[in-house]
Amino acid sequence: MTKPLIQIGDEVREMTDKEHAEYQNTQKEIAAMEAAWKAREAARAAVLAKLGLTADEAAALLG
Amino acid sequence: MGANAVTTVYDFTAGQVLTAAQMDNVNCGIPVFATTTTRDAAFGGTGEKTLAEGQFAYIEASNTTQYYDGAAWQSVGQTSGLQYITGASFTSVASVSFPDGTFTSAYKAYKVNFYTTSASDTTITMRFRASGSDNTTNQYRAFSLGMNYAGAAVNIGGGNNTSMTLANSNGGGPGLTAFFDLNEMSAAIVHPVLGYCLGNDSGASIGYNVGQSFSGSTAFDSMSFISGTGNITGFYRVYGYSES
Repeated sequence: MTKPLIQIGDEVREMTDKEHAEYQNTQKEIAAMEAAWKAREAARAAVLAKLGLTADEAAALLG
Repeated sequence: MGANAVTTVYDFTAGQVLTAAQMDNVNCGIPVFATTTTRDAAFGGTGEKTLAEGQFAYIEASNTTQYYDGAAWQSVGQTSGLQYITGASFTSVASVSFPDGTFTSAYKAYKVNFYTTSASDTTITMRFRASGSDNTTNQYRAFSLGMNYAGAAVNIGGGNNTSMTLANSNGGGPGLTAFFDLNEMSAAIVHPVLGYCLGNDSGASIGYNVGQSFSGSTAFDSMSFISGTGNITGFYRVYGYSES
């Protein structure tokens, strides 16, 4: 199985085992971060729904 | 008064016998040299002028006019405020890094332009590099202030991160465009990333005042941009802020 490509300067090559392991860890960290963002956004939407406000109305209120 | 300074602008008459001093005075036009090597070899030898303050030279190899300030040769004219260091385009790669040795002691500050196309559907993070390896320790901190086109805050904050989140580059939008500055990267000090970025999340444009940092006191010579999912296509450019 081929590994993802990495470019350093003008050189393009497959990642080494070490780079690939790091990349997989980074992907997991980014996925966790994105999940946290989405959870925060969902919580925000839930609060707005509870208050009966649209996002624009909330922005006007807090802006 | 330097050796090249004159006190008279001569007006010779036909048939006049000239002295060596007068000929030296006449021989003050800008000499043309092939390279800086041949320039340096042309002074100080037998029958040659001694290099002194005020001497001009034109260098064919670089198409530049220079003057000698008594200690070194200087270029005539304005020097650009930004000096191009490196740049490259990349196509369908999972991560892209500047060449090793991009950041040196030659510059105190750097300007970076990073761009991905709208086909790059991912979150992009950054890491600093030294001697060919990314620094993956959890010493990165985030304090980017973001706002989407609807006016809602979309900030990126947090500490003890193992990378610096730049922004999303989701499909359907304009991709990601970032301009940011870095400080003295070759010194073992804390390094902030300060600038601006336009990202895109599910078709919604988000503008960021980019604020990230590496909190350890470490020297770096490069940096990387890593895609969270899939590949990225785009280009980068790195400039050094001129010292004069």
